[in-house]
Amino acid sequence: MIGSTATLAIAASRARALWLPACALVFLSVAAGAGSNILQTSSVRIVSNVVFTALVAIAVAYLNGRAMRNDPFAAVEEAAPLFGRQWARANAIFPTAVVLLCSAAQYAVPLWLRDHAALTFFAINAIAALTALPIALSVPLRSQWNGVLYAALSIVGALFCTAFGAAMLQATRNGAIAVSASAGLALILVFLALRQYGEALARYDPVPRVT
Amino acid sequence: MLDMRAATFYRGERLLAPLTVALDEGRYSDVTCETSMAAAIAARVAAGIVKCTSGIVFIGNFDPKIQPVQVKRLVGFVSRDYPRRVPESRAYFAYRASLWELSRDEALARGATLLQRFDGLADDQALALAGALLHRPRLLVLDRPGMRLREAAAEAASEAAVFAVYGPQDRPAQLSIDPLVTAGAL
Repeated sequence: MIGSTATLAIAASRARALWLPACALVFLSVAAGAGSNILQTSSVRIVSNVVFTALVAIAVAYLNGRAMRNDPFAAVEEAAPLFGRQWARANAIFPTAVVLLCSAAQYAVPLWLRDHAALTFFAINAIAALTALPIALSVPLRSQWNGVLYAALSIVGALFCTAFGAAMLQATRNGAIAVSASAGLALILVFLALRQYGEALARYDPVPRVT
Repeated sequence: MLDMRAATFYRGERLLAPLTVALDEGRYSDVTCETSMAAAIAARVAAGIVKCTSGIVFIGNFDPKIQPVQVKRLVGFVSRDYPRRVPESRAYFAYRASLWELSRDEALARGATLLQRFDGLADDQALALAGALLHRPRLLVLDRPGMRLREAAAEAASEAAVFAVYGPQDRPAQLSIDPLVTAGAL
């Protein structure tokens, strides 16, 4: 695979830079998942978990962007012969793993208790996380208000996929169909968002901070 | 190797005044810009990292706007923003070898040799310069280098074109020996 060495090296570099905040986010997700059990209505619980997941995706994207600017290894990437799309994919690998872990961590207790419904809800939550992340990755590349809009868009995208999955679950009473439908919609959004992120990285002109 | 014609950069306001430079391999050129920001941007434009807003830039006959990967294979770039925490040299060279798709062992050996050569430089500067020379660039771009870094770079990359850009506070004692024309209010 062309450029896979560079892709893996960048993913490993992000893991080295971000493992500590990533662990903190996973523990926070366990606590948030346990806390959401206080909510009586399951639909409110699902929505609160999805919003939390999207917020985690935004936080991870922000930390990833900060690592791109401050990490001594990442500092050479802007001068490296990488295509925008390749850089985008490499940048997304570690954050994707983190948001998936956080998504699973939110449902850790019900999954541990072998709650079968929790498996479907976890799958829908994971799909929401995967939708939110590629949109959120553009946040650090944007100026203030555009960044806020991208952050809002990532939450909306996650909720949209969840609402679609929930509607399918309501209509078919079949968890597999609901998850598949939600995943299908997410796939389209992820493809568009990741492609857009690659384009943004290719056009990105990093103006240095000169003191 | 480097052909910049009235290259400017705008972001809201003009950050780089029109800059014209022509530079062949084996030659070097030093340019002083009106601000440190303009110098930092000029260096990045010459390295294909930042795309000029107007004007023309060719690096080794490649256009950085449409052939950035080909351009970056030709260029070695040493930033003024040295890392606050100097990374371990072997890991740093291995990382650069991965990004430039070089043989890891050869890159480590060459990196170690270059580091020995830059013994007189500060650790962060020596590492940055050795890293930039790892893939044997044909154009070496230095962003506001110190005098010792500038000399070490010219000596180590004698066959490459060396382009150094300075801010108003970093005016070098030596002047360009290469044909250099600057236009606009520099």
